[in-house]
Amino acid sequence: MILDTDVKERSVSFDIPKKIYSMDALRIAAQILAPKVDVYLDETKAAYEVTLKAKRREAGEPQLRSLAGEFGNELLNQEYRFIVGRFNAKISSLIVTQALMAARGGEAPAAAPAGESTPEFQKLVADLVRNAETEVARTMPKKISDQGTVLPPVTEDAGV
Amino acid sequence: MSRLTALANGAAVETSGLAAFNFRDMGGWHLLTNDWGQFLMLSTADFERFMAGKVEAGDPLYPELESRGVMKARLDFKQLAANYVKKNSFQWFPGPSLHMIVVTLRCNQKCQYCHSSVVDPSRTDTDMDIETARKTVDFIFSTPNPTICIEFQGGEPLLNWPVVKFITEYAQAKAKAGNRKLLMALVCNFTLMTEDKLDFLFDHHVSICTSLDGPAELHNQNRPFLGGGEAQQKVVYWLEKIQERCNSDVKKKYYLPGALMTTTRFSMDYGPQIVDLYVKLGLEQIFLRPLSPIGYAKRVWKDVGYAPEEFVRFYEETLDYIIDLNISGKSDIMERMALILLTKIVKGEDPGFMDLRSPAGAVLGCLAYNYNGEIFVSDEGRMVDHQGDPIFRVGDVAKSDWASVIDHPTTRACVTASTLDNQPMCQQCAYKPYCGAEPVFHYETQKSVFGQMPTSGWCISHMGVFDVIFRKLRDPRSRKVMDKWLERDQCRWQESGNVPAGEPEVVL
Repeated sequence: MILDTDVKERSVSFDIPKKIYSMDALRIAAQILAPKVDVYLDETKAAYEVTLKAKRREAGEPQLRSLAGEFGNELLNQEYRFIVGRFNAKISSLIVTQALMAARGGEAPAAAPAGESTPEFQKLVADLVRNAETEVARTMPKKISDQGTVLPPVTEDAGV
Repeated sequence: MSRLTALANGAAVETSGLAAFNFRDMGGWHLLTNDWGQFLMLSTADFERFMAGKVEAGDPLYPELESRGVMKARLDFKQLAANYVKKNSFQWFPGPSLHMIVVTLRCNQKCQYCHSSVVDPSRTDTDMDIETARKTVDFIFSTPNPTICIEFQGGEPLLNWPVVKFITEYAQAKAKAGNRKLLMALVCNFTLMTEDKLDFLFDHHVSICTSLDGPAELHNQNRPFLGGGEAQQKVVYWLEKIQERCNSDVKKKYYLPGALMTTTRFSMDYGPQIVDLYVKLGLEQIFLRPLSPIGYAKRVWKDVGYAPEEFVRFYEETLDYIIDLNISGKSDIMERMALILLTKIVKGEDPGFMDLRSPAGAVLGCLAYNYNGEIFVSDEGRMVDHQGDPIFRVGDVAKSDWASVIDHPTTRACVTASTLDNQPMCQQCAYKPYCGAEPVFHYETQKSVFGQMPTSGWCISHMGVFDVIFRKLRDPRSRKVMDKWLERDQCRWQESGNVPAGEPEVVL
């Protein structure tokens, strides 16, 4: 890859052959590097002309070359991912669908169990809520020692 | 440069008899694996003979090649399919079993790798309230998996103790009413533990796990108190106390506490000392976990992080030390990462470890619930949100139902991205049958849920650890130790709902 750097403009330009790389891969690579660079695209018949403009103001020649390298790695990764995705589409779709469908556990959500509508259950829950609210009011907010409870702790209230 | 290995230039290959498999040059021998989870370790000479189609019926190697599903004409599809389903049972699971509830963001510690993910102990506005807690439990019970594991996390969950108690009792009441299997776990720093809390946890069968990074000087450097001060002695105190109680009561022995360590840059010189402490405390396992550059750890990576190759070196040296302790009879402590991988490789089973699945455990195996009811694909996804990026938020317990979470575009993206058959490099890798790609990790480090495997720290460290484990499997002394670990089978893979044989039924 031939790099054309312009330190004053904090930019680096290079050509990407259309025969090898797709616009989709370019777009994804640009998106992934977006926190570091602004990406500008132009094209000829045979190539995409890419210009990366570094967002960091102190980007020098080595940093610009490094950014171009990172972009090239990501572009290759994305293009290869498309190839792998196409090659393994059937098996990966089967695995993903199987996992998602099994996790879904059926179309309709299960109804609440009958045991939860009994008066005994309702009373139990009401008691739990009341007790918890009482305990929250009793114990919090309270200043605690930054060092936690003293050793050996004696009662629950002693350290909190 | 790719870490995948290739055939030697000019190597003879006769493909007509070969079934589909991946291979790796391990230096003097080759590892072969296939999608069914079978593996084979061949000398380079045998590998070259096999690839050239020169292993025929009557050859001593033939039966082994036949049994491992690498010969096209001799595939036992019924057995291979059974192996695949056993190894990938999670692909048939009806939804997540692991539900991590962050009951508060408050914490009284200021850990080197986490302290911006938590807030000051006075910030009770980041506590989960009772109403949200109730809705969270209701949502969890609306997911279809018959086994539910609720894990309390934080912040420091003991700072919102009333809500921990409420969720425990409410979930157990719902499990009883709905005949669901329920496991409960608490991950806390132990510094706020009391006898009363411990009684409650034992009485309600809540298993307990803490963080122990190593000897006092290391633990206290990694995990100081918010206002300064040393935390390690409290962790050790409570570990010993809880073990004492567990060992004195047969019904409690199944709830022996666990401890997790996180490897920071400061841990690198302490491998044997960390292991010695775990041995001294009578812990049955140590989990040599790498630090992930996610959330706050990403910001302070230059201070606490390290290169993945450095972690692999630390892992190998420390594992060597553990294996030597086992061989010499000084200890029978097990290393959990090795155990997870061995369960996959040798037993051909899924150990329920969310990070190493294809597709990953995000949503399919686990969900994380923030204190305010927001639902995330994983706890790491919640940490990314805490840094201001809500990309991994897939719902809210007050508004969402299960169908909307599983159908969420983020869920689908995570599942697709973490299916290794879609991944360049992974799909050719010998470790593919046992590995996984973590979408949150790759989003945080490489700005894409798919990641870029040739430069991924995740991939470098996991391939390194797999290299270590397979080399140990080839070494008879280490293999003997590892086989013993597998025989003991004491791992409690709560995440997948598997419990060891003989575990008493929890009476609710």
